[in-house]
Amino acid sequence: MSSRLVSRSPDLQRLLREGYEIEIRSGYLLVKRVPFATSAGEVAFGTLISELSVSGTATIRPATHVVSFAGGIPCDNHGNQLSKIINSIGENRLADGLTADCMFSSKPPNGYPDYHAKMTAYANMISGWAQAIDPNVTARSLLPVKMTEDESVFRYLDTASSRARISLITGKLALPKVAIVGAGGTGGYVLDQVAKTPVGEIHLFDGDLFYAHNAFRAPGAASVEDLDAMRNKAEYHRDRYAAMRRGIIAHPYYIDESNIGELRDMTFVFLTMDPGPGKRFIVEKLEEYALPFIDTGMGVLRTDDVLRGIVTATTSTPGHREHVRANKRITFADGGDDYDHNIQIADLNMLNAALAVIKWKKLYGFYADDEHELFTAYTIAANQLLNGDQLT
Amino acid sequence: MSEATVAEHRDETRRTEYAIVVNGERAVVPNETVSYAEVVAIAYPVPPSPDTTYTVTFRNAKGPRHEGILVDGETVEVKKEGTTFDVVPTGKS
Repeated sequence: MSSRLVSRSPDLQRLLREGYEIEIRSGYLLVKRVPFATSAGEVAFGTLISELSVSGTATIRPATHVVSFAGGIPCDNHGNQLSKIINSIGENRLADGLTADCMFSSKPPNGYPDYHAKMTAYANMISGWAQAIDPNVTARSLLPVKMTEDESVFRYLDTASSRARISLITGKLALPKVAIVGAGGTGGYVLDQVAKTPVGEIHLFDGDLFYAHNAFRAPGAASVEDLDAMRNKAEYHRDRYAAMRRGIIAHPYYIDESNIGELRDMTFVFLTMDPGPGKRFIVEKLEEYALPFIDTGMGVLRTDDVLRGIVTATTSTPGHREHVRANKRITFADGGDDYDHNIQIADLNMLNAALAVIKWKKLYGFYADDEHELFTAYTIAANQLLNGDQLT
Repeated sequence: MSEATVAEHRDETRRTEYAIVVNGERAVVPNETVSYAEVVAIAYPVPPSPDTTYTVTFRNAKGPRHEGILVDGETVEVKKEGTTFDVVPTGKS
């Protein structure tokens, strides 16, 4: 796009500021991703194409009131073509890779004073019918749409899903309550990913403080002030992700006999905590509560002057628990610290979290699951990803 | 026994040994069939703690699986040279 032309043309500036996805190509002004209703009564997206009148380095009054449209023939919400504004139908090749499907003509008494007035008028004429089908679609696709509490857990619209048209699939992840037990390196990255799904409440449990060594394994970038504040890990992460969504509840303590009941009404649990007797207790209780969960594990060794190791994710569901103990998938033993000095690296924490979150999304039908593996192991030195404990 | 036959005998001995790699270090095992317990003992002659559990992965094996995860009680057939294992206590988060 000619940024100089845009910066010197108030009408183009205003289109950008209001969230319209504009482009100047082959001398035409394009407004892209404009929603319209199809003859089948579905929402589709197309591009408004206008001639662009320029004097020197800025736009002038549009030379004509007509525009072309690429992407289909816009209809009303009952599937009838918008015959009042369509003045011709038929492919019209305007430039390389730019072919219009129809042309619109709707002239106000005094014409359009500028390109903002012209393009927004046409965008409104066709996208209103699409909004009658899906109120969430908008031609202002780059504008963050603020959401109220009733509408969504997010503070602005999830346009990543709507742009990719997978909102329906994303909706499968709208579980009421997900717990993350342990807000360390892996737990932090699990939160980073789960926060971006429409889960109703995310309960984050950790009794530890957020120190400098945690900052080097956590998503995002903590400031010196963040560290000086000596915040609880769960509260630190909650405040960070509150910028984007509601429903993150920090529990600044460890899970033990006194509070295990808080997990009882969870829908799903991520176990991202260090091994030890406490972990065995939680696993037994999750089994008793008939809750599905995924445990993450990491073993990194220093051999001479390089690191090697394995990153794992273990899935346990009410119907499939046996492999956890039969194949010793979850380490309950404590005391490995002196041996391996608890080596953990941010990218491995991130991968460990991603392996767990991808499997969680498979369990709820977001991703296809052909192999039904309940155990995943990634061996770093071999770059080898293996399935274990597959259901047959 | 002549010197030649001694050399021959040594060659035969060598031929019945299997060179595997455990956590990046070469180790020699006597049999083609190698168990989970065997590779864990090579990697951790002294366990970090009595009930430490390990994740064992392997690759470039003879079969029946050429790569995979080995659990306690399982074995794998290794090649003369180059079957590779990683053994770690997993659990950290």
